[in-house]
Amino acid sequence: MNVSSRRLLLATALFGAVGLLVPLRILYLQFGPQAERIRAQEIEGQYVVVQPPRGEIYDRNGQLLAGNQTVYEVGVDLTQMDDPETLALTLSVLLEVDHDALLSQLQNPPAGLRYLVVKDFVGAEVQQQLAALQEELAQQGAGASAEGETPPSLRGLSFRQHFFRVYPQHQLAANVLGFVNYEYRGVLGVEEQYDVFLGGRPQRVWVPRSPLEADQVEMPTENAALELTLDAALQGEVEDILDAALVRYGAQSGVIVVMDPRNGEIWAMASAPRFDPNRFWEYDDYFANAAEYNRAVSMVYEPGSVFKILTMAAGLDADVIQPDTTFLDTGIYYIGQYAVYNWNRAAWGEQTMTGCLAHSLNVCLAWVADEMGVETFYRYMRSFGLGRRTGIDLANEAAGRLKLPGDSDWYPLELGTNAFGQGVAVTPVQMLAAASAVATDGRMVAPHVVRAVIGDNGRYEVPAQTIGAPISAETAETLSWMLSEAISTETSLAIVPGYRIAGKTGTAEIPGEEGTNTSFIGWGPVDDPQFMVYVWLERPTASIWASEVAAPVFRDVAQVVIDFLNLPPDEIRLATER
Amino acid sequence: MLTRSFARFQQAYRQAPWQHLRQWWGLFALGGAVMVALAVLHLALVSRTAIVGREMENLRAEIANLRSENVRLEAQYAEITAYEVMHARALALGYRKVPPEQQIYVYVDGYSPPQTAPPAAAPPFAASAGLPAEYTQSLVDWVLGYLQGVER
Repeated sequence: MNVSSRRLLLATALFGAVGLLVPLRILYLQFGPQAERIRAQEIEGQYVVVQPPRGEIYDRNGQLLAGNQTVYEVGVDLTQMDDPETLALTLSVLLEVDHDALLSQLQNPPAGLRYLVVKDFVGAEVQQQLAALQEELAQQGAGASAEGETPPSLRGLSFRQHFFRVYPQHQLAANVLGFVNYEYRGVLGVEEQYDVFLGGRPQRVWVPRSPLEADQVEMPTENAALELTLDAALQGEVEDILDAALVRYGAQSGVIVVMDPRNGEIWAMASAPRFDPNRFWEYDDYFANAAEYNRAVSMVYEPGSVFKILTMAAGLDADVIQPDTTFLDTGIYYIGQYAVYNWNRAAWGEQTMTGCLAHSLNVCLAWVADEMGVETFYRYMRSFGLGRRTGIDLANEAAGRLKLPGDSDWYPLELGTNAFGQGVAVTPVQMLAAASAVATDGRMVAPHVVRAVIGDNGRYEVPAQTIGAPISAETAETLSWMLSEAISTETSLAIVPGYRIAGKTGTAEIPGEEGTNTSFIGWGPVDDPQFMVYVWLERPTASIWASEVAAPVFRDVAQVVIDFLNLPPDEIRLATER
Repeated sequence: MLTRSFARFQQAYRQAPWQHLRQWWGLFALGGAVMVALAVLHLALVSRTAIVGREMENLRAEIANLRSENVRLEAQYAEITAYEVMHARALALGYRKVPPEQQIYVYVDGYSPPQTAPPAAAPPFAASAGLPAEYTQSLVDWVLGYLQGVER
């Protein structure tokens, strides 16, 4: 074999060996003992807890009412820790945890525990302080250990970032929003009602360690945001009016609701007392039960004379009475063997139906109900939705109670007392929904607080809906004008100068207790209703009469709403429409 | 003639002993080279995929950080523009609400205020409004109804 042949043979052998070794090495890495060891250690990937931010809640103008903030879970990796004393001292000062208990846990952890959670929901500022301190001590430690000293160390301290709910407007609309608890569950209000859409709970996802499988990571589902019908500025002003009214009239609690009678959008819903949902753990300090959280939808009460609107509407629609029908008020009316009296036990003489409303005569309304008869009266009351939830999109709505003939606790006298709002239990929202039939064209609108749901697939607008048509449009118009006439003659404190308003006061004794419930329901302008306001003040001490307590509050709210709507006085508006 | 000469040359070339050995080594080397080429191609693809995978992971981490920062800023912005804060600032700057008697309305020809869409049609009134039969029928009505039901 000559030289060139040997060289050729050598080169061939070399290339052949390389060509053989490379795939052999690949096979070895893939299936060899190293690969087996990696698999045995289960480090191909791991389950990681990820948390998408909970869907935001905005007002109708895009003002954020409920958002998210970054908080941290602070813990200690016990396998990395080398200075429990420094850790316990630092964390007890900055996280306000018990020093001795923490030190004991760090020095004598339960068997098998590798990671100790010290505190969750720690704010970003404190976390940054801790992280900076940890870094500083680590740097000092590097220098000190070179000199043979044992420096203080925060080694093992770790942070897990996650989101939590924040309410940047604090108390504003708190009773509508509800809150989110430590388990990331919505409690009460919109938060509970739309919990499924808003989401935000932590999810476990598999994250492979190999970057080759990076595309297989399951991303957590995105949550939907909500746009409410509330206007934050109007809500704020209405809450201010309510708070001032509680002080001025010495009331125990109160509710003000502002609604668009044309489509049921709630523009403002104030309920007192209320609290800052950022500090939801103080719930028990403010509320004895869940019904007190949002009295507008959850608290039932005897409405008193505001209920006369419904009785009169039923009488007019059933053609039992007309606006000019007269009634001779002798101050007493018998339903069977039971007597019904006026609020002042006086006899008011001959009155038209408008006069009955203006003077809020119980006797007259009991007569109207009696003229209608049990069947007709209760048929109308049921068609007004009494005793049933309105379906408002807020958690914990109460159904109220309308006793019906045949119920074990219904007595014939109920016909007379129900006619002027006693013996029935309603929520303010129920009364608003029922009276919206009178305010507009006989159709009741469904009150709602969510205007749109905004998700990955776009924006879904919640349509306005009617929930019944208990009376005709003619009846509604007639009664609106009667109420307007009544208010202009008798309830002067509710009058808004320049605007024709329809409304009714309601004063009801609280059964078995001291004090009264004072209410006012009104809407305007009468010829083209654009807003409805409901006021309820519980147990006022300055006066027990709604005409002196609830009526002026209505006027203040109506004036604010008129400004909010840029609604010119009737004279100007009607002149420009001609 | 030419084809015949080529065939003879081909035969002689193939039958040479050294040539025969070289062919085997050449084939072996070719196979090795193909395998090396395939391995290199595989490694190149895997490394590129790994780089892209790492970039995806980094981008996801960046998205998470940006989202965190975004929600923080959004909440912070809402906090400083909250009703209570803005109201206090407006008062501090000397703004006051215009009382109704000082408000001036200007007629704008052709302007029509925004209209509210009418709600969906109401459900039938009588269907659910009446009292349930249990509350209205007498014992005689119930017996008659029951008997009619039996007859059917």
